[in-house]
Amino acid sequence: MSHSLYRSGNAECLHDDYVMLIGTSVDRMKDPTVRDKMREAWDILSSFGSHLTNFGSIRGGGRHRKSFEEFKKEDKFLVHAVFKDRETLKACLEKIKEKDLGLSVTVSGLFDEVKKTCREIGLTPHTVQYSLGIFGKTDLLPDERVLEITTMCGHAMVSPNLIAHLIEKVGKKKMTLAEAALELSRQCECGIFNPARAERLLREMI
Amino acid sequence: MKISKEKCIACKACHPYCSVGAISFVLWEEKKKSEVAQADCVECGACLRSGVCPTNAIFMPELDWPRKIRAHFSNPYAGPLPGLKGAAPPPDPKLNEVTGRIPEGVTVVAVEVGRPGVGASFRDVQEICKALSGAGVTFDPGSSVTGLMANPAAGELREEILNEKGLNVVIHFSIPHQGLLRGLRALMEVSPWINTVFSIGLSNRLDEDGAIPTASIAEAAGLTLRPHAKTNTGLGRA
Repeated sequence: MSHSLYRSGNAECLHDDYVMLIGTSVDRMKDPTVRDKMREAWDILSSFGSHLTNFGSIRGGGRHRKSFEEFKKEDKFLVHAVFKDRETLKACLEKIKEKDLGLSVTVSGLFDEVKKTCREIGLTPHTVQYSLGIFGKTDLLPDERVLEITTMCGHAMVSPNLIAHLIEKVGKKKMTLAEAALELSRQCECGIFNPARAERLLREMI
Repeated sequence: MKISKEKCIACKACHPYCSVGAISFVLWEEKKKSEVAQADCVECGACLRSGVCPTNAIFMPELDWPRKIRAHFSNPYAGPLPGLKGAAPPPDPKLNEVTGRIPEGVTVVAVEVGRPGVGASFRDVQEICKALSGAGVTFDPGSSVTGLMANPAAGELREEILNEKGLNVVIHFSIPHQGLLRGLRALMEVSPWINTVFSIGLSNRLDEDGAIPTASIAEAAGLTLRPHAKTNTGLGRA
């Protein structure tokens, strides 16, 4: 399963959405030095604090549930951070490169922009996973605007009905757009949902 | 997933949280109550984890075989089922600079049936597996779907699971670049005949200049690369 690969939207729509995945194999987590490197990675991520729109670990929840320090203590083999701009992504990637952690770092986002970012800081991308789109009975899918939000949770835990429900609540002034985006993000169990982008997309839908 | 009729107060709070829209009202002892349609529920647990039920009426019952495979393909906390005995899990492009399990000249294909958010019956999954098998594909032995096959060479799943479903059922296979076009064409041919959606993800070693070596093959199959991708930056070390 490739949870962050299938985010819907064209290049313009995806300009504020980059997911960084830092990891190692489950087996290597038995090595205490690798565990320390993962903790160092959390320190680097936390230095970007509010510039990250979300962070978390595999099945560990997102920033709505735990702090950087709490995630750091969990010793998970795969951690995530979501960036809303390429500049911060670049700065973070550069810092990880400088520290020479030896951990695998994958960036999920606009391929051309990620490639450009790597080139600017002297990295040579090794492997790519890319998507060819959606096939089959596509009339079962919700509207593309809805998909742009739902596909930010790779486990598909954000339902189209929830988006409609929250839009209605925002329309009735029972909730702000930011609260609606956070409620959507809360359903994502890995912290890869981008609430800043969701807020923008909800605003455009209302 | 189930909802206790005794505890439910028909507030409807849980309805929008269901990933597949399987919760609706029914009449029970002349009162309106929420119920999860068991045929549609994929056992993802989203309704329970949302925590919105004010009376804790939602619960996860003990699941028997084969229904429990719904959770394995839908609930993030259930974990995947094992593949064929002794087989390693499918190659992970996120770790490929360390493991080297996706070598040059080979594409790892993930056909994610039911994605995004629609869900799929295993009958449809089998249709796709059969089409791929006919195109000469060998399924990844470590993949959960391969582990559920009665006859991997023919792409046939075990009979007892065909009426089950999952939110996202991934078929994995590795294929040399020269066989990829045939595999993609097989997927396009079966596409109009299934009752769900599927997404296709391809993993490759990049060329030295950063180009995707199989882009032209995908285009020859009439397919367009999405602008979004997952790029392994090459920082990992063994």
